[in-house]
Amino acid sequence: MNLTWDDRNTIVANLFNPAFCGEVIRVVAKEYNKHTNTVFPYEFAFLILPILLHQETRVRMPRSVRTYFFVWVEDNDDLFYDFSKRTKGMVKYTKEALLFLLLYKKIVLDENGGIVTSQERVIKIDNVDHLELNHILQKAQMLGKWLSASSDVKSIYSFFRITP
Amino acid sequence: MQISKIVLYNHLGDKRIVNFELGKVNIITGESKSGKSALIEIVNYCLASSNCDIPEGIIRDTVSYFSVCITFNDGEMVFIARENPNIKGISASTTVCLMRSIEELPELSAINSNMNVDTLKEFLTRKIGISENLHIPDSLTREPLKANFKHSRFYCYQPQYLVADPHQLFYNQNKEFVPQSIKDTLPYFLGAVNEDSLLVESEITQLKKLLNRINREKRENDKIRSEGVSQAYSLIEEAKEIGILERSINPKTRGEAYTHLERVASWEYQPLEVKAENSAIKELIDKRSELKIELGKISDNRKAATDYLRSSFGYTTEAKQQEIRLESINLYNDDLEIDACKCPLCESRLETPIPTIQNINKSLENIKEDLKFTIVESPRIQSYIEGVESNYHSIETELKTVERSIAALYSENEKARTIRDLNLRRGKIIGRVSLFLESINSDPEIEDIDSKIDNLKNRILELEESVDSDNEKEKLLSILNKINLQMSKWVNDLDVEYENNPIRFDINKLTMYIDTDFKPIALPQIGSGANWVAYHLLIVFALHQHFIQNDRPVPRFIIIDQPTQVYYPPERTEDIVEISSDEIAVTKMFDFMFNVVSNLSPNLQVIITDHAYLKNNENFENSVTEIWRDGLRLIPEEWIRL
Repeated sequence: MNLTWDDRNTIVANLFNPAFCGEVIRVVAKEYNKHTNTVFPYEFAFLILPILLHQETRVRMPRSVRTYFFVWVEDNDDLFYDFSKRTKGMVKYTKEALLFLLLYKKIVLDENGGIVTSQERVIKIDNVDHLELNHILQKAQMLGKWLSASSDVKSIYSFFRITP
Repeated sequence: MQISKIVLYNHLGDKRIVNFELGKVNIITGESKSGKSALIEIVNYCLASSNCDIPEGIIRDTVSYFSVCITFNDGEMVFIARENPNIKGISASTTVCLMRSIEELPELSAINSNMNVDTLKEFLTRKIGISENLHIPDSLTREPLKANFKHSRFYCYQPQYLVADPHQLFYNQNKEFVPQSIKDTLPYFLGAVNEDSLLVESEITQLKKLLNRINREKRENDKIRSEGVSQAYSLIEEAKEIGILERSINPKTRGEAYTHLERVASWEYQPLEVKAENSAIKELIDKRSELKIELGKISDNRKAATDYLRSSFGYTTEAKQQEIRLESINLYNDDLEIDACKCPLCESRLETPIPTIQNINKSLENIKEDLKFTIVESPRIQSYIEGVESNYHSIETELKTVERSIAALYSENEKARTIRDLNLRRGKIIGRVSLFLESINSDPEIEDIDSKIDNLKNRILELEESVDSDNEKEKLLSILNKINLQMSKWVNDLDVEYENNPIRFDINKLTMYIDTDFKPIALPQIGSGANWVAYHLLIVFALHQHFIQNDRPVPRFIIIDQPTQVYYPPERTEDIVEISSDEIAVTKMFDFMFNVVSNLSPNLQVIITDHAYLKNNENFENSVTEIWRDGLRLIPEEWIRL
């Protein structure tokens, strides 16, 4: 978050623009909150972009949430050997996206740092060019549901070998 | 890996926690039927057992989740819970709940299955540090076996029926296939198998391939060389025949022959003089080669253009993705009064402003502009490619016509064909001569090849030795010898019949032998349950000492159920048997365990469940974790009333 918008590399800035990243995060959090009584924990937000915007990881996600999250992680160990590095790289985009969402009142933080989202429908555009975008949004919904079924933050971070 | 807690949850979410101390002896002493023996099966069930052997009765009726907290060598505490299979009427649930790095126990409501048993097994296998390994049986009647976490458990449990059984030493040894898998994997756990044998094997295969290739090269060279001089003369004769060398040449020595051959090899191509009637062919041939060159150029151009087009299309799609992602901005409402320099969380001023809708909209405009340009440009390239394409086709047709007329002329003119043949044969001769000369001149290189081959062979031999099964057998033998020695030393601390005779563990029969002065005696042939218990303890502790000292990937705990049963059969009394310290045999046995554990401290945890209570023994009294009598037992009484 060190550079202003105009100073950034155009391609990177455009592809990781906060409006888009924010929407992806919002979709995951919205889906998570729908399926559980607990509010989407702030810490989870940082896992979203490295999973969903990394093409190979996204493509290898299973079709349904019936596969357990940890089973998938263990089976696809090769995807995650450098996951903590990937996550670190995305932290600034995640933070920016969260600020952007807060700024435009799409999310609210509750007293425990949970993320409450606005309830707008997820818009998908039916168009060949939008295939990738739709795929990302679809997997975002799935990830939200998945995380809601998988236990606590610490176990998930341990499985991704991320140490604070 | 050691056990910190065993936790049972009932249906209401109440917890029954049994705490254990790490790196020490933990004793639970209690009445009969208080749930002591179930502990082994509970631990086993939670640690990825495929079936549930927890005894039916009060335990299975009241508990909803069985769970353990285990602490790994790296300090991480992991909570594993598995549902009581009774609830859904299945023999064992296939799912588990795993929580890592926990600090406090979760409530029942927080326990959700999040993985299956196989994944848990994989997780434990990796976590205790079992590297990739494979046991490839000598005879090929069995599948290769990979040691995993399940194979490490044979050495950790000594249930009541096993600890005094003369026919088996290890957990589950009476089950089908288990003895074989113990024999196959124990060498790995003992450390007799090279850790990275898989890696080494694959390196050997690679090196062997390389060796084969070099050998082949060498053979080819040798062949040419061995035919040597005689071939040189015959090549010169052939060269004379087709007019590359003058007829008068007649080399006397080998050196002379070689110089002539070198001349042949460097011979410049001089097209044979074509006589007047063939001039049409000559022209056509020239034309043909011109056309071919032209065609080559055009096809290069075409390729360059298509490549450009492809990459530029790639850019279009990429830019298109940027546009699509920027469009997300439409989801946001720009009517809001926004101060981009103010942090929305803490109201403080931000050094760099958050990009605003205006920023992103501008980028969206830019990228749309960019895209217009790319899309306009690509058709022009397309038309260029089309031009190139048609040019290519016309030249191709022309070339075909030329070739056809050449062929026609040839068939008319037999003489011309001989000339072409002659040219061909000259080319062939020159080729063979140069190959010949290369092989003659490459002497130093051949030495190189020889030394290379030697190096490779040595390296392969070296690697093979390191994974050699003979070598492994020797290593295993030496390890077992060490263990035998340890057992023979420890045997004096216990009350057994053959105190002064060496003991040996036979890995092929999975039993123990006592070498007396007259003959070896197998464990089943020795009478008395007291002896059997003693020998079980010896082998289990000796193995664990070896595992610990060599940092082998085996859980660092042993659970022993009812080691005193041979002295005080549980049938005799329901209550705890209180023993005074003058019962030498029992005292010796416990002191032996205390000693070993404290020598290995804090690397070995021993959990003993027994109905005996050793009075006036300080170690014993300090190690007692819980006394299950007068209502206190594994399952709290309130649970039963529910």
